[in-house]
Amino acid sequence: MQQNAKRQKIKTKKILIITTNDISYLGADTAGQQHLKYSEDALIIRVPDPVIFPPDFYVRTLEKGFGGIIVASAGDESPFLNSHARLAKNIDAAYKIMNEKGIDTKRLVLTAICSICAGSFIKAVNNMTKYLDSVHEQE
Amino acid sequence: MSEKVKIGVYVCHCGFNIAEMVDVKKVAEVLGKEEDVEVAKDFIFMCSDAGQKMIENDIKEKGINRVIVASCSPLLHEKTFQGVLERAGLNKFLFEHINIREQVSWVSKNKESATEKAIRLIRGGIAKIRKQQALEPILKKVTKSVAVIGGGVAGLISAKNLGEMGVDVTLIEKSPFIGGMVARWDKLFPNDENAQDIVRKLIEEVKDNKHIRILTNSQIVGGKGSLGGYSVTIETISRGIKRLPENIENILSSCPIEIDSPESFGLEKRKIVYKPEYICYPEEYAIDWDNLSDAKELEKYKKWVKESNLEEKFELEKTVTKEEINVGAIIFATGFEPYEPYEGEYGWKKHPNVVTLPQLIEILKRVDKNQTHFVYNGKEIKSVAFIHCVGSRQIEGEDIPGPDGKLNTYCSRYCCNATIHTANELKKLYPNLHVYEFYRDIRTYGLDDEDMYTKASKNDVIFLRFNNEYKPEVQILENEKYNFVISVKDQLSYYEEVDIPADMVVLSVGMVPPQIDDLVSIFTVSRGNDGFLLEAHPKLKPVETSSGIFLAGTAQGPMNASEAAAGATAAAVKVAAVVSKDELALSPFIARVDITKCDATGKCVEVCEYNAIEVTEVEVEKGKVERKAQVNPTLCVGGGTCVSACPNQAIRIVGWTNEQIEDMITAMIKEVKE
Repeated sequence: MQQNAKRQKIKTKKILIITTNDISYLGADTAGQQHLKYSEDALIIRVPDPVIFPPDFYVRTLEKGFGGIIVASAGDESPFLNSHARLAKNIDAAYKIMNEKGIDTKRLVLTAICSICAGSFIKAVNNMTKYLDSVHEQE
Repeated sequence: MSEKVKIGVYVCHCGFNIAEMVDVKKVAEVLGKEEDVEVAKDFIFMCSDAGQKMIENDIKEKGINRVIVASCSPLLHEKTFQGVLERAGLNKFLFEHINIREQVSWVSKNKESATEKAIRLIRGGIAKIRKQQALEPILKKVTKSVAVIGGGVAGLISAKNLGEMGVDVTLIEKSPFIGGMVARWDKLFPNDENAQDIVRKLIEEVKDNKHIRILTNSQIVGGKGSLGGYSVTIETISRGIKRLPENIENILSSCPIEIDSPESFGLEKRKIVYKPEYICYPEEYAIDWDNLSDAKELEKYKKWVKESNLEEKFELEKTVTKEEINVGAIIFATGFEPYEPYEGEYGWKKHPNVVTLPQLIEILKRVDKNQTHFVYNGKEIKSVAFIHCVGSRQIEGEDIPGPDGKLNTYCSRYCCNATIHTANELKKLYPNLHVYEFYRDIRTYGLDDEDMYTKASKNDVIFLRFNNEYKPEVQILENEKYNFVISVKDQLSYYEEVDIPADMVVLSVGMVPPQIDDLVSIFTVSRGNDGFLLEAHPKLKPVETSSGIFLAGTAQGPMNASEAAAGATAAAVKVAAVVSKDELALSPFIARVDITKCDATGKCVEVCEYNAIEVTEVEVEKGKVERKAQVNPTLCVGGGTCVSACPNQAIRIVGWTNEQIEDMITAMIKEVKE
């Protein structure tokens, strides 16, 4: 299936960062409090936990025009029992759909960001920005 | 007919904090043209009285029924602006806070791009709030009593504080005695307070408080409910003493069953009928039924009771009683266990003079303080070597995992202080004793604790630093002047190999979580990687879990007695705030089932860790009953695992529906036109 699918082009370099209300949103805030700069293309939303999204949600988001998605989970700090493990399964399932549709799986990243993890947050954003820049140039 | 959506968008300058990098006037101008936006305004400080009044007036005068404020982080002012809505008579949940300071102006370099980013984010907020419905907190009647699990210092302090506030408390202790681990200590660092005195005072205050009921030999075996109202099943085992014989000590001398005394950390043997020597309550003998669980041992005990004509004094078998109580909140003060070294770890179990720090403290409690020489196991101890970080800060590939296959990667925090305090105590008792400390890092972090370290240096305690990769090696010597020689590559002398002779090796063992799997399972409490119980948020909710359980003391992780006391007090205050209310307003952001889409697959039930969903018969229309998923609003924590698990998208989190979020995403990606 993957071989047959035509590789989908990236429409924009916009990055959707999905954070958690209680933990990773605070990590993003910490980066701001330290005035650490990152791309203005990175747009942050917050939800109780990204586990609420079914796998096809990520595919639809990319198809709507986002270049990449960073799922900033609370990891093991999540206040919701076993949510990170279930989220990881959802992301795996999203990767399968992306492969079938010819969407580069590097466009979807699952990472854990704690409430003070400004450095990890910036690293995740910069990595995605670099990746989208390089792909954009090739296209 | 639903009311027309009228959205008010308010963009804050935050002085120059936002306005310097974001063209706030342009943001307001562009967003003023969005569908359903009735007003879009910018203001120098939206959180000021004038800013708040402006929003309030617009709600009242212009009929604004959805509000967006784009300003600093919602953590700072979300509640402020929700208050504005409430004052204006609008449901506070018809509000969306967009962060354009910490997540836009402070992290951007280009004003044009930052302005566009702010527009996109606020536009997302508009899309979300458009479909937002007024919500009401879920009200739950509060049961005005509390269960505290664990009768150590943390449990006693929580119970005492609550009891003093007039709250009815049931203090549940698994062992036959309250007092906990601190009751076994001698002097507490850094100020040499007497641990026995502290525990004695706490016990007195707790047992004399009419609001506190103490249950020993008791544990929770079942429970249901959530914050505000739990039904808890408690199992209590009889103490086993019908009538205490007058000459109990003589009688016990003939008792054939002895075990390594956990009360002395295994230093001594004790009988199966016992009472600790340290301060505890009740000060009555009890039968150690846990150590009679083996049928042969039980038979041996029964035989002894019968042969000694003690059947009217001691029970032959334990009796178990069960009771159910209702409480509004539960505090876990379940404590810790000292790390148990594996056989051979620094000579553990290979030589009787390799002891743990708790054992040394026990030994020092018993020595004749008038003696000028330290004698143990019949031999004078001239040199003592402490080894730090035993069972703590373990590293994969360098340390051996415990029986559960896990490494204790965390720092146990209390042990540096406790070790140095004990070293100073040794030097005070025996000034000529040679004391060595083999350490990786010294973490004497508390108030006055660094002074203990300085004092130890002045006391000629010798510190040798090792890298975990090159741990000290303990060699046991036979028929030599000293019992051991400890070899180490000392970092402080540029990895010089040093051999230190010693008569006693003391292992500074860390703290490990106790075995409380059943309790954790009953109340669905989260655990951290270290196995200790996990708070919902280290700063915002430091003593409560996401499932509404409160945490006190070392149940939460390694800490010293002062920290445990602080945590226990905090938990008591937080609990008092709950049980002082008649009703509890729970978050409305919980799962809700759309019964028109639900096929009762049960997938949501399978993934819910909080037992908040069940498939049950529901009247779908008059006279027609079908099986559908239903959410218990008082158990649901709104995590949303069920949402993605449902194959029919029949379940959603109110206020955070996937439909709202998809609308946000569509709005955010749309091109920005001026």
